[in-house]
Amino acid sequence: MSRPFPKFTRGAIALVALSFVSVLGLVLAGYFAISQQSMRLSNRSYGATVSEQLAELGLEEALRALNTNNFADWTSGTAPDQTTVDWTLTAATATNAATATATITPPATRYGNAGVAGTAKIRIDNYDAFNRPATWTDSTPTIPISYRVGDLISDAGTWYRCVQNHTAAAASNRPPNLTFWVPAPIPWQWSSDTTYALYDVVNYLGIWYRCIQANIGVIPLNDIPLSASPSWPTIPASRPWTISTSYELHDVVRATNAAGDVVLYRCIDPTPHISSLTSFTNDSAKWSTSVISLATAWTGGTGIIYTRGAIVYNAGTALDTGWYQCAVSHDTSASIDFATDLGLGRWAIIAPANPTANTWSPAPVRYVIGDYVFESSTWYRCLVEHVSDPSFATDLAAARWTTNNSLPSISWGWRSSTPIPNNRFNYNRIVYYSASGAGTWYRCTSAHNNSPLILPTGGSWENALTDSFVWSATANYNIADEVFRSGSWYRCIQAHLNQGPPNATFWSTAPLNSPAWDPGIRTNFWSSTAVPYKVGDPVFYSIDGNWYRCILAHPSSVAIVPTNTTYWATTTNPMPGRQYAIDDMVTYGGIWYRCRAAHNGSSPVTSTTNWDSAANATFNWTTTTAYTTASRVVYGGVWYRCVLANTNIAPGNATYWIAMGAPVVYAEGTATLIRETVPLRTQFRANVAPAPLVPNAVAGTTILTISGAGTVDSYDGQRGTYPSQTPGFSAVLAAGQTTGTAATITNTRVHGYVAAPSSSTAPHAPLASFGGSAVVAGTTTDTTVDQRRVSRSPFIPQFDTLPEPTSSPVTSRLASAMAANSGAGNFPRGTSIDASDLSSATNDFLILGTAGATTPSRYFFNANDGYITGNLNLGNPTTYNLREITIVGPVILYVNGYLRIRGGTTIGNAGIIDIKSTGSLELHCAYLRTYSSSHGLNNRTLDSSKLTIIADSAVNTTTSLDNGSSTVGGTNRDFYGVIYAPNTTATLGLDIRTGTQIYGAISAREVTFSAEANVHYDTTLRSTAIPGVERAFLLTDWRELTNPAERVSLP
Amino acid sequence: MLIGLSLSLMVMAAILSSYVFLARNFTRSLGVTYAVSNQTTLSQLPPLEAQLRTTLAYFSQDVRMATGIFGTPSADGVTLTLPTATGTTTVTYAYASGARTLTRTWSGLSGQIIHHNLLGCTFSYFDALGNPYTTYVNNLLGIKQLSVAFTAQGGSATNSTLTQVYTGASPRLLLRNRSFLP
Repeated sequence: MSRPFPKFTRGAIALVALSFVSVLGLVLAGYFAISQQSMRLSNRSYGATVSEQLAELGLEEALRALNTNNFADWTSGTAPDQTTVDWTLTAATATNAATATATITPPATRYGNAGVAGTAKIRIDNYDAFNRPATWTDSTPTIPISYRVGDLISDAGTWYRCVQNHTAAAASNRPPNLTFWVPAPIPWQWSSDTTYALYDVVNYLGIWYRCIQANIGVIPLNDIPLSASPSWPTIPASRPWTISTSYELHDVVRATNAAGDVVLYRCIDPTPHISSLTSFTNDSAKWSTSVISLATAWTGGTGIIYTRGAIVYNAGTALDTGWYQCAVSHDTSASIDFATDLGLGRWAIIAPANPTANTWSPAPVRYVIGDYVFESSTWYRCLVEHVSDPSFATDLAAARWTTNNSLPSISWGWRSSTPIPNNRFNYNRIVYYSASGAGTWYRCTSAHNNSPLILPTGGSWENALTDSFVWSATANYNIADEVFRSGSWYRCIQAHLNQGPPNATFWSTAPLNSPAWDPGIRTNFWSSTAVPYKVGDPVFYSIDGNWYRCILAHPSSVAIVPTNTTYWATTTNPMPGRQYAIDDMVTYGGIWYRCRAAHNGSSPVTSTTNWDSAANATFNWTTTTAYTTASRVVYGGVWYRCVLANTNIAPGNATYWIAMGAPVVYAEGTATLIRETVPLRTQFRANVAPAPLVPNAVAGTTILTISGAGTVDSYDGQRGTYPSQTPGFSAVLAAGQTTGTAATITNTRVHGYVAAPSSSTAPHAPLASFGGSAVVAGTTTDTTVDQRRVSRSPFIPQFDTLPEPTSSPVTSRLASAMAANSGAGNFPRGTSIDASDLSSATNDFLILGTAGATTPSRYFFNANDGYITGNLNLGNPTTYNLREITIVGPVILYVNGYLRIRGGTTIGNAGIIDIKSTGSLELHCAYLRTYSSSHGLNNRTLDSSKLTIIADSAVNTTTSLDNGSSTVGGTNRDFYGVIYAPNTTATLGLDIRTGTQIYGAISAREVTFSAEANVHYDTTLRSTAIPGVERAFLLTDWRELTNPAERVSLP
Repeated sequence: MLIGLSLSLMVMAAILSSYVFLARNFTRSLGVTYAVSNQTTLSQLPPLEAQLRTTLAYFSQDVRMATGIFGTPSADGVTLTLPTATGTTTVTYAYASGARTLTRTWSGLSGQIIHHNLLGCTFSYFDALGNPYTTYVNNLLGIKQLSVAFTAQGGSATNSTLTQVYTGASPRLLLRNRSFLP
């Protein structure tokens, strides 16, 4: 019989059990609490990662939008698994940059963790920085628009080039006011390679000149006695205003106005006066901007004021007919006729009336189509070749003359005959022609001698405004392609097929306002090598970054540098190049510069008086400075303008600061977790710039072989020529093959780096082989291969060539484009060079391009050069017809097959491509070969970005550069340019032969230097857009904004 | 009586097991150590897991943002160049095997120990192909990726509270902000 537990015992056990359970409960509760905290920590860590990924997603989307210039909304997938992207664009105002904002909402089902929601937000300040349209606009009180010489704008569907500095303060300055603007593509810029006829008008260095003696290669010069420049008097001649100078009524001077623009002024003070000791502003009341600038024929009468230097033509007696320059400013009201005026000593003859006067003559004079005459105060254009009748009225009644379309009255007009013997119209020569009043511009498409039988309305000519650029529904257009449709020009702003203008999503009527620093013409580097400088020659002296004008002729030498004031003076004239105004923003070498003083094209690197660098810590934003609306600061590599006074508010806050010029990307990822009230955010800030195609001096995506010695180094092409500076140590030789030996450097001295992939086996050394005498160094004294300068990670960008291929091999699409009248298929239209252009032995050269043209001229070559159809051989014209191609303007040349520049039977008929000072060439061909006996590729600009050779065929045929000599037995010609041959399968790849000095860069599938390698990498190519390849952007730097004060508010 | 004792023993055993399990877990989590350094008391040490997360978060954030490697890296440490709003700065990661700590030091500031109780810590470097660097003298321009791996152990051998070895490692992190040149 069992006995129950005593009651006290049962109670004790229960108490113990209860205690244990309580303790256990407490322990478990604590454990659960810790576990929950641990889970929360884990979730927040996960959420933080999600927010980072979303922020990165934002950067990626921003880059996509920038690369394609496509800011349209888009979705992907089907709800609930749908991602939506919503873009909003905001135009620039006085206080806000042009901004693109977006919200990306990924599907909540894709996080792999229920309850998580996320978004990514983007803000891009200055999203249009590299695609900013240049459209004429009037000034406003807050955004003064100062146009400078060379600026390109569009207005009413036509593009115009600024030819005189001015501020768009009034609608009267608007195009087509020819005082300030000339419509593109008028060949307004003087070129040393153009044959100029009587009355031609050109602009040179910002000043207009009229041709009064037919010439070629005579440089228009200002501020020198007219007798020293009889071919090109200025319109009118003028001189700079200077202090303490005596001026009289009607004197004309150039001076800088309050807006910083150089304009002409005429003295209106009837009393001679001595100018101010300080500035023109003090004397401004004595001057008027009313200046007669285009007088051509002397006219008497009240109120007709001729200013000193003005040019007139007088058709008087046999004794006084001719061109005259005004010697004394005066009002002609006191003169009855020119003889009286002349008798008063007011005129000095500058050229006799020979050979042709532009005043109509009743004598039996043969007039040809296009001639202009001045009769009865009116300009007339000859419509029919004829011999003049004694009565002009008779000729007029016979419809031999017209007054229609008299502008441009004396320049650029097509003429059936000129005083120049054997005058030819060369390729792309642009003239104005009107036979019936409906005149327009014509482009020469087939070189020929001028003749009344070859009218611009017939063969050998095309409508310069339309024909080569007509929009095609079957062409694939890429960003920056240009077309003409329905009376307007358009620029492609988003790659597409068959989206006709004026579809604003794909086309813009405005040209680009490029932020890249443009020094303008860069042919005037001063040289010490016995150049016979003459008075007036302008040079750029890279040592101090200034322009100089020669004031005493001399052969140059190292003893006479431009700072020698006996021979050189700092110019007061507009000089070659772009002109910049205060707050203009440019980018150069990956750095943004702000213009601090209006000036003319000085280098942002060397001219600290004109440019402020974003890399200069002096301009950095600080937390303690009280900023005003006049403040400009640098923050994160970007210039900002203060729009609202503040202290300690970081730029990026759009209420107080506006980003100047540079695009800035903000991307924020937000992850919201279940049962978490505070979402997790990650915010990035990034800078954007165009991606370089050629960051390496020489790069082979497979193999790079240098068989000999030589030197590889670097220089900064914008600072001057290679010899004018101390070479740098930034050149990179790169090879990309991952097996075997990628880079073989035998005996070359490399001042820079070598990069090759690592071996797959330890210790994973770079696949590079160095000969016993090879040097890779960072100093001139090193004599070994410094392995610290040998990298295992080559970077060799490969961009698609443009237009994008639709088939392979590459030649077939070129052929199809050419077969379809040079513009169908995948190519924009252009001028086809046909066999007839090459068939004449006397026509063994082509002149391509238009100096000063706005858009590149496209040419297609698929003709029979006398050897093989479609391939272009230059040299020995008896065999190959063509010897020389001269490039005088921006040119894109597509050669269906290969291009070979050969030697000749004599040095005189060896082949050459000659790029003149106003030219640039983007050459597409299957493959390239130049011969040592040729004259090679002669890039006279000495600017490596002005010559790009794209040989993108995958053919196993020798592709070589042996940039021949200019004289018998001479050394090879220096090559300035970029060669891109990404697909060649030739045995040696791109073969660089001995004796060739390369200034620029090379990128190819394989590169072989048969002997030595002398490559001087132009570091400007790191930040230069290379034409003919796809445009891409990259993030130059980015960082996470962890400081709340730095973060920006995103919409 | 026997039943009561049996029940009590079973409950006691369960509680003891739970206690030991939790204690070990707490020890590992809290990072209890026999070598407390830098005036850090036991109660101030974060859990090992938190130290791990903090270390990986700092390291991945810094490497991703780094514009390059400053000086010569090694298996025990690396100095990264980081962009700032007005220029650049550096941050140094240094493993001290004696103190068993990993220190993160901003340029001009005193260092912050971001991980204690380390048994080992190794920084690794890789080129663009992902091949590792085995020496730290030559070809270092080609470093494009970094990683760090470490082992930690809490507790004390003297009182038999040593935890299991806790292993942490970062993924290979790209120097995404680095210049494209070598």
